[in-house]
Amino acid sequence: MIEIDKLHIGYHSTILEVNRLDLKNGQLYILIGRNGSGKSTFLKSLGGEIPYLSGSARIEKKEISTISQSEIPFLLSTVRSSFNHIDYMSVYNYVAMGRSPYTNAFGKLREEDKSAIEKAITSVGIIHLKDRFTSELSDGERQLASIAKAIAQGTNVILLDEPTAYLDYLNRMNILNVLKNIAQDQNKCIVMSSHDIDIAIESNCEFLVVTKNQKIELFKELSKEGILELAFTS
Amino acid sequence: MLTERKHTLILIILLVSLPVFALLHLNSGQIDLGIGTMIDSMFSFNNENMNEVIAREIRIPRMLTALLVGGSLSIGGLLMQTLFRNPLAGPYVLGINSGSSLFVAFTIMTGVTFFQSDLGMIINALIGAFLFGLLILFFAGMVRNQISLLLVGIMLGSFTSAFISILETMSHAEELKVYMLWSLGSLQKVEFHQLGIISLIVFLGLIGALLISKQLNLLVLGEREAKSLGLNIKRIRYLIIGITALLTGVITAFCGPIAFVGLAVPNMVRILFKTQHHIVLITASFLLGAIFVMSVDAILQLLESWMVIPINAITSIIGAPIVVIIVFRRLR
Amino acid sequence: MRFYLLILLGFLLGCSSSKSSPENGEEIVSSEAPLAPIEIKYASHFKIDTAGNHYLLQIYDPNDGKLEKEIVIKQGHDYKFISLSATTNGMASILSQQSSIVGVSNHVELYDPTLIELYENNEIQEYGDKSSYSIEKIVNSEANLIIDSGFGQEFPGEAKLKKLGVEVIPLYDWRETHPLGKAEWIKVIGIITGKTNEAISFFQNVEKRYNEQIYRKHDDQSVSVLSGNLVGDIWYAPTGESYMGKLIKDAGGKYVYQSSTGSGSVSLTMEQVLRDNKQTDIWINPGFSEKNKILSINPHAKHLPCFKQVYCYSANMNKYWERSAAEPHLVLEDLIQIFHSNNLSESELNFYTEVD
Repeated sequence: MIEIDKLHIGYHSTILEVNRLDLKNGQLYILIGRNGSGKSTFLKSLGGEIPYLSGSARIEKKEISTISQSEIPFLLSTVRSSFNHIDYMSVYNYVAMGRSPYTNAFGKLREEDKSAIEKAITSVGIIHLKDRFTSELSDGERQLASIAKAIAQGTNVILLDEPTAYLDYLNRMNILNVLKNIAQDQNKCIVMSSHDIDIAIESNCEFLVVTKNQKIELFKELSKEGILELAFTS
Repeated sequence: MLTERKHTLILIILLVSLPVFALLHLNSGQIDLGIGTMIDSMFSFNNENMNEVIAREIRIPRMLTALLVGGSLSIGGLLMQTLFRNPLAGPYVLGINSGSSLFVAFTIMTGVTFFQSDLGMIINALIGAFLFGLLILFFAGMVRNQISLLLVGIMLGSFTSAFISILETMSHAEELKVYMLWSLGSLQKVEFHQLGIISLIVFLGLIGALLISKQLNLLVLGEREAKSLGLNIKRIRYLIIGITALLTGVITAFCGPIAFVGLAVPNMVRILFKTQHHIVLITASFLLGAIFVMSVDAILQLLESWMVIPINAITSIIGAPIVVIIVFRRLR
Repeated sequence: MRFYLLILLGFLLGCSSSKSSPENGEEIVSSEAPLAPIEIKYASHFKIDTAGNHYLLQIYDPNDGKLEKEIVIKQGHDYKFISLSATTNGMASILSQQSSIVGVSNHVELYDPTLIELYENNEIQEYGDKSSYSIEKIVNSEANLIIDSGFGQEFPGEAKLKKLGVEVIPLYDWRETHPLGKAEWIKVIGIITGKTNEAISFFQNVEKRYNEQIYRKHDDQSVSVLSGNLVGDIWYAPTGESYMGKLIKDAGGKYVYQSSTGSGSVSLTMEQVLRDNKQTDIWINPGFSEKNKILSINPHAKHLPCFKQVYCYSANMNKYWERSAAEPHLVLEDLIQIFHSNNLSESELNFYTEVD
């Protein structure tokens, strides 16, 4: 769960302002906004990659700016818009990397790690691919493997930066459904960014909209026209 | 898991064939020494008996040097390839060797006696390798393309040889000759009593590499991803450069630059094992590298009655085409 | 018209005098005297014939024995040359013709005091080695000849130089297998510098002294000798038929690789050298003047029993490179001393010194 209060983010000057937000477990939030509106910056700030300028952002009640680098992987996991395949790395081994914060110095997988990995791969629906090399997967399957890795990491918060950007329609829908189910079934707080309004509308999720005046606001329900009005028309 | 068992099986085969190849190497010299002489030379050495001297001072050190060179350079190459996520990386092509060469050239040609001791040579080669490793790291941050990094390495190499040729014009003929002969590369200059320190350093490097194997696994994912899984990127980079410098520096100090082993062997290992698991890759690179150099050198020994071929000629003949093959596969 | 008649006369006289014994060369002093082909007794890579009242120098390729080059050496012509071979420097010095030299490869390699003085007075320039010389610098000098040791096939830019009036002569003295064959190349320097007779008589003297000195008291106790050193992983030992093999034999040494054939060297591994030299007494020509340098390129050398007695021509390296070719009797003298003298005094040696 993420709590935000009067947060100002940006590199030098404020590019986004978030007044008050409570993101709960069990929910998938879609962060929507124009290209270049600061969605990535917002996610990076939550991930601890960019220090925020002022205000407060807490993950699991902990102020992000005070969390150490080595503690981050226990609190949140991230998924990028795409990943280049890695030679000779199987899906199983790739997802297993998500367990690395928990394993010993040599990365030896314990039983609980193995079951977490199996469970994560199963929950994204690619258990039949677990022994394939990542180089043999399609783009959509590879993105699912990425999500499985984040799930295997076992954090409540998962941040995804445009995970559907390079996928076709069916794959986008699939990813969205998978994420929604995981949020509900595994009681996770998932935030994914997207600039694709249609997908967002169809998903029937809650929205975080980057508005024209550089603020992020939460909407439980929104129409396409509403989003366009809020975020896109100038 | 099935693959895990397969890996263990191949590793065991490599481990078992290591002494086999060692024995083959020991018995491929031009002079028929016999196992008895070699055992005697180890346990009841009689320095009046020339055959025992040959066994103890030349044949056995040559075999162990081949083993250590192969193992050590292969791990060095593997570490470079993981650090730069580039299968074309290796201590020789990236110019890490050049760093050692530059510092060794400097000590040989300035003729400062302290530095000409074994320890002095090692320290210089280590410092040179480490500094050039950092330089490469710096340049790697600026070039995106894998082949560009290779070009940077070649440029470092040319820069170094230019610098050394200036040193040459200022040095005396005999010092120059000592350097030239060192730079040819040889497995045969190591003496029995030096094997201890070389083995120790290689062993430390091997242990060091195994200890960071988990971090290396993470690094394969890319730096941002590795960072989000809690990896301290800066620290691991320095550790990798340090361990590589240790492994290649000590070898370069005693054997001169040996080409392409570090590049070729890890690629062969990856093709053989099809994994990114660094405990497996490191162990296998060490074993396969040792076997590779020992068998190449054994062939050279067998050929010696017709012609004496320098080790670098053969490693380059095998290694350079591997570079070309990888480049073509990448560019396609 | 009278001039041509004189030349014709000279030519006729030259032909007729060729029938007389060439041994009498010393008596023909006048430079206007007719020319006779010069007899070459030991050297195999050059011949000197006549062409009118000029000499015709024929250089033979040491690799295949074919005629490589023919150059007319005009008599009375003032040759100024760039000498890229130490032997040439030495031979010109012996004939007191240092002033014919206008260039050398590197002044630090000079031995002859007059040459050094000429260099310091800027009358001799440095030209570097042939891979890096500047054609313009050569053309700009008064040189009309380059004398080179002939390593490798052709002198770079030779065709260009020839167009600009500069000839190149390779001095293959180092490819001769007989020590006197090496020395005989002084005749080439002689005809170039116009000191033909002096060169011939100098050589005759060297030949006499060399042959007188050859060690003939062969007994079973004779010393055994190893020569050469590692280059990389290969020990190049001169063959028994080579220059050094011949010198060792003439000095009464029992050379370990005496039976090897060919004009160059045999390649050996360090193992083979250790095996073959269990009892060898003396090691010559290790290529280094200090034992610690020998050890730094060849640490296993210390297991050779003859590592206790190592001699190298390094008393004065420059002197050796300049003078040893022209004066092989002095090299022979050194080796005889080293092999047979019980209490050797270093000061009596010409080129060699004990390595320690």
